[in-house]
Amino acid sequence: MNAIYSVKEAFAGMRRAKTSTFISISTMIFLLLIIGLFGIISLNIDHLVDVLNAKVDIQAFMSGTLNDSEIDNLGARLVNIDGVANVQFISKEAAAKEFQKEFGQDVFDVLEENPLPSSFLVTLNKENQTIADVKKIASKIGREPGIDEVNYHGEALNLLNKFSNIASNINILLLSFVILGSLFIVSNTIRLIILARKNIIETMKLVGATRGFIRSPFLLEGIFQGTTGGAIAFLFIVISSKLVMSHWPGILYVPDYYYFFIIGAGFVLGLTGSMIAIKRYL
Amino acid sequence: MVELQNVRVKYPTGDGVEKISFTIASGEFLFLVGPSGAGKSTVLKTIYMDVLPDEGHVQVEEYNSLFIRKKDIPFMRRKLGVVFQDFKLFNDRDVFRNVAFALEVIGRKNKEIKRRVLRALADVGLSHKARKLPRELSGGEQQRIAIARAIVNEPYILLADEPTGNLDPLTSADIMAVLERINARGTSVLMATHNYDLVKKYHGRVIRIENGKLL
Repeated sequence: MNAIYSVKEAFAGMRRAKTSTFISISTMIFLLLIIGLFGIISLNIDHLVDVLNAKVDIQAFMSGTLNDSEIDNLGARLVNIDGVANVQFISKEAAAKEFQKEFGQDVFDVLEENPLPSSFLVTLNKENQTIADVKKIASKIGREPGIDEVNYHGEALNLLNKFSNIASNINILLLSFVILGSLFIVSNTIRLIILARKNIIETMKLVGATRGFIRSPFLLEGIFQGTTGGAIAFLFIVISSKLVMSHWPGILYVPDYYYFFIIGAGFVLGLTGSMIAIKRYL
Repeated sequence: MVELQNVRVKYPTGDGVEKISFTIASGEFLFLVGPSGAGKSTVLKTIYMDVLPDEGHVQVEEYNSLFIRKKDIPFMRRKLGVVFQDFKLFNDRDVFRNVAFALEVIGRKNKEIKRRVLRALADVGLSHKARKLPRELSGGEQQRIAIARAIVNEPYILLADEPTGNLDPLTSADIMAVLERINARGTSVLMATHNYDLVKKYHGRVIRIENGKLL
């Protein structure tokens, strides 16, 4: 009985304030679309960072004085370092072949001897493929006796991480803007509905309606506006991202949970907006 | 029982009431008479606890203004019926729904609502207007609908704030007849009015208020 009454009153309230409800839902759609699209951009940068991090290996060059058993021992020590998944030995000869592959010239044609040092190619565990861990592990490797120099693509990683940080900062900024905007617009619409029903509310109070009973239609209105806005933004984002992905496969990364985040955000914003209005005006 | 004990209410404007003490016994008809701005509405507001006294206390059945919790006020109000000069009816629903509203919002079942609303409309003599909209009725009829809404939950006391204030003498007499009928069935009535002439014609205890104090 109470629930049915609240739902009926909620829809009656929105019918009475059609224009502001329409504006409120449209604004929610717009704001959630902005956050949705920037969220996708940020997600994709993060994803790219993850993918590139996964390709990050550390190359540890050895001093030329080590004999075979010392090399074996060193290799064993490197494997035991926390975060190291695999260690592959690259001999001077293999390095020379790699040089030839890369530069198209035999190192012995230019020099009389092979100046390339032998090295270990160190692969990291997946969970350690972050810039912080790569740096930490590389410095540990560097401290091992017998290792002359350690190389990894730190600059590129740094750059990507910088992009990723900028993107997430922009996202936080946008998110704050969207949250404030949505809360303002929903609470303002609910305020108008509350004012339009001032007489009814007064009478409800007089005849002994509980606070929860009086408030519930307004909460439902906020939830409805937010969730409707979220659902429409969700549809836009699903359709447009699927279209992009079908034309250019692999260009976008959007996990399925993300789509539902948009609806969830609409729900939460709608609910909070109406709670603000109720607290202030009821 | 309704009892006001040394009640003082001060509004920021400086208006208000003080040293208000009286009791309304079960089944009593009481007039609270005084000019506009004397504090009649404030006294009524303290009874339905829209305003809580700054000093003193109000007792309505088992509820006391000193100890009542905010969440209990709605339940206290279900023991009261309130009518105003301006009726406060809703023009977006018919007479039946206007009266039913008082029961719907406290979660009564449909069957019970129907039974009680028809009873209340019969009490105020407007059963035949159940499907009319309030704006299709005369002022006197609208006030009778407001009374029906106030008594539909069978309150212990009916508080009437200038119920005849907007009505001509003949219609006022109709309203008074309805109030007397309700009172005769055992419901206490407290009627606030500025109309001394009207009060003289009816039985009932009279208390007078001026400048926020009882005389």
